[in-house]
Amino acid sequence: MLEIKNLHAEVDGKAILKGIDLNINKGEVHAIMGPNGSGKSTLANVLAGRDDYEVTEGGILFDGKDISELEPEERAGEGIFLAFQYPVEIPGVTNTTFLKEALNAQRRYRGEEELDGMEFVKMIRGKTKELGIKDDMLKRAVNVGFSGGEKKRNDILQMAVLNPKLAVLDETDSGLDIDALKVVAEGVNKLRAENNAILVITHYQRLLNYIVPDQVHVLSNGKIRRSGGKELALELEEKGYADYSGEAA
Amino acid sequence: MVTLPSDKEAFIAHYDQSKDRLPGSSLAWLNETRAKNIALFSDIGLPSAKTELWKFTSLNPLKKQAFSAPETSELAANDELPRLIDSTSSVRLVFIDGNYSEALSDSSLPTGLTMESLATVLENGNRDLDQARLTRPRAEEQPFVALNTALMADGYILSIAKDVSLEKTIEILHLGSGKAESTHHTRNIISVGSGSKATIIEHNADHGENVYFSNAATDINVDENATLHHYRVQESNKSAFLISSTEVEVGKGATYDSFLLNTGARLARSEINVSLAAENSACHLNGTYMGTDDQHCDITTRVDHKTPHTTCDEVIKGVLSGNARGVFQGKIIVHEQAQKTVGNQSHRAMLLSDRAEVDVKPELEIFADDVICSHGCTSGQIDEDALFYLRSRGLSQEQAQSLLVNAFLADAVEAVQNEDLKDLFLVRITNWLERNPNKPA
Ligand SMILES: Nc1ncnc2c1ncn2[C@@H]1O[C@H](COP(=O)(O)OP(=O)(O)OP(=O)(O)O)[C@@H](O)[C@H]1O
Ligand SMILES: [Mg+2]
Repeated sequence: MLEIKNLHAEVDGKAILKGIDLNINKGEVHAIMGPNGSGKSTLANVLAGRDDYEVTEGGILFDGKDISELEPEERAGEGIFLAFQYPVEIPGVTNTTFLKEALNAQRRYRGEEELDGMEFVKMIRGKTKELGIKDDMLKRAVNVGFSGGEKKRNDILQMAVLNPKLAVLDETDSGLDIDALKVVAEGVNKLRAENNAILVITHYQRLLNYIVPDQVHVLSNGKIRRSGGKELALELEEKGYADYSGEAA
Repeated sequence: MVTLPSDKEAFIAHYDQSKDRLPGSSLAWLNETRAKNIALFSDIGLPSAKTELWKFTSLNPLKKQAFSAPETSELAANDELPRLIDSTSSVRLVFIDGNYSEALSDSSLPTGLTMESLATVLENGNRDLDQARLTRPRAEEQPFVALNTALMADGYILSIAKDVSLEKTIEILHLGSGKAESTHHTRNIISVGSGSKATIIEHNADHGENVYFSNAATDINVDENATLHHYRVQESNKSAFLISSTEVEVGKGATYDSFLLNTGARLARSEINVSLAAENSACHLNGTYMGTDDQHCDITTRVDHKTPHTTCDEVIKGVLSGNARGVFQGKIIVHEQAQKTVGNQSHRAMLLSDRAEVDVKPELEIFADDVICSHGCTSGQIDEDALFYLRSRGLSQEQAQSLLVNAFLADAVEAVQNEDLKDLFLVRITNWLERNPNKPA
C-alpha cells in the first residue's frame, strides 16, 4: 500500500531524511522508533504533504500511485491521515463544523455522496461514544483549551470519522494517561482491518503492547537503520539507541 | 506644480456653484455658517501626507478624480432596493445619492420615533432645529466636516422620545444611483431620549460601479440611561469614496454601541469620536473590515473619558488581500478627573497577500491615575500550521483559509450587543470570503 523509496527530504536547505526505504502492506501495522530529532515527524509530515519540506530524491507510492506531487488535501482524499505530534488549535472553528467539512471534502474528492446534517450527527455520536469523548467537546473550538491528552484523543476521533486507508500516528501516546492510552489503542485497533495500514511513531514500547506491530523500524539520523519484529521494541527500550548513531551500519 | 482635478479649489468651486440652490438658502444664519465653513475648509485645505491624522491615508486617488457639484438625482422606478432587514422587523429610510426619498422610504414610523429630512427642515426654516448640532465645534481640524457643513444638502434628523424601546430596527439605506462623479454631503442628527433603546443600521450600497464621493457627518446624542445600537454595513462599490465623521455624546448611564462592517469603497475613512462626559457612560466601538484589490479602509476613533466611571471597549479586526491597505488609528484620552476609567482597545489584522499592508496608531493619553486601560495591535499572516492541519484533513487550501479567516472575523462580531443582528454580519463575512477566494500567493 505504501512504498517509500530512497526518500530524501530537506527543510531550509538542511537534509533531514537521507534515504528512507519502507514498505507497508495492507492490513499491517508498522512502528517507527528513534531518537529525538532523527526525522520521524519529518517523515510523517512529508507523507501528509507539508510543503515546508522539500523532497530532493526518491518518492512515495500510495496504492501504486505516485503521490509526491499531490496537495495535502488530495492525499487526505486518497486516504492518508496524520495524527499530529502537536495537534493545532483552531480558534473559532468548532469540532463539529471541522469534522463535517473535512469528511464531506474527502467524500467529494472520492466522488462519494456527502453526508447531510442528520446522517453526520448520527455517525459522530457513535464515534464519540466508542472513544469516550464527551459531546460538549464537539461544540468546542478545535483543540482550543484542550489538555494535551484531549488533543490527542481528538485527533483519534478525527481518524475514526475519516476512516483513512493509512493512518500515521506521530507520538499519539505521549501525554496520555493509562485509560486514555487504552481508549486510543482501541480506536486504532478498530481501524485495523484487511484494507488499512497503520504507521505508529512512538518512543514507548508500552503502546505497542496495545497496538501490536507487525514490524518495528529504527529511524536514526534520517535513515532506517534496522527493522525487526515487535521484540525489537523491547530491545530498544532496554538498550537505547546507542548502536544506531547513524554513522554506523 | 501639477494641478489635480479635485484639489481644494475644485470643492470651493462646488460651493460657489451651488450655494444659492442649497436648501435653506433664505436662512441668514445658515448662509453665514456655510460661508464660515467654506472659509475654514479653504484655510485647512485637503489633508495631505503631512496632516498628522491622515498620514496613513493618502487622498491622492480622490484628488485625481474629477467630481461635480452636488445635484439631486432620481432613481428609475422599477429599480430594486437592497434591504438588510425584513420589513416586518424594520422601518427603512432611503437616501439616493445623499437625498432623502420619501417615496421609497417606509411611511409609517413606530410611535416614539420621528424622522425629518434635513432638506425639508432647512427649507421650512424649522425653529426646533438645534443649530448648535449642525455647527458643533469639534476637537481637531476636520476639513471634510467643514466642507460638509458648507455644502450639506440633506440627511436625516432622527429623534427617539424618552422611555421607548423601539422593537423595530431603523434601517437607513444610502444608495448610490450610479451617477458618475457625483458628490453627496449628508448631515445627520440622531437623538435618543433618556431611558430609550433603539437600533439603527446604516447601509451603503450602490447600483453600478461608478465613482462618487460621499462625505457624511453625523451628530449623535444618547441621553441618560439610553442605549443606541448603531451599526453600519458599508458595501459601496469599489470605485466609491466614502468619508464619514461621527460625533457622539453619551449621557449618564447611557451606552453607545457601534459596529462597523466595511467591505466596500475604493477608499473608506470612518471617523468616530465619542465623548464620555457623564458618569457610567459607555461605548463599544467594534468592527471588521475586509479589503482586496486596491481598496483602502481607514478606521479612526477617538474616545474622550471626561468623568469618573466611564467605559470603552473597542475590538476591530481586518482582513486584507491583494494590494489592499488598512489603517487603524485609535486614540483614548483619559482626562485628569476621569478616575475609574476602563478602556480596552484591540486591533488585529490578517494579511492574506504579501502586498497587503496595515498601518496602526494606537494612542493612550492618560492623565488620571486610577484607571484600567489596555491596548493591543497585532497583524500577521494566516497561521500556516493551522492551514496545514485543516488541509491534511481534506479541506482545500481555499476552504481552509476561508474557515480560518471566517473564524478570525466572527470573533469580532461576538462583540455586537444586539444579538439579533449578529447573523447579518456573519453572513456578510462569509459572502465576502466566497466572492474573494484568495488563491495561494
Ligand atoms: N522547519 C524546520 N526548520 C529547521 N529545522 C527543522 C524543521 N523541522 C524539523 N527540523 C529539524 O529536523 C530534525 C528532525 O526533526 P523531527 O521533528 O522530524 O524529529 P523527530 O524524530 O520527530 O523528533 P522527536 O522525537 O523529538 O519528535 C530536527 O533536527 C529538527 O530540528
Ligand atoms: Mg517528532
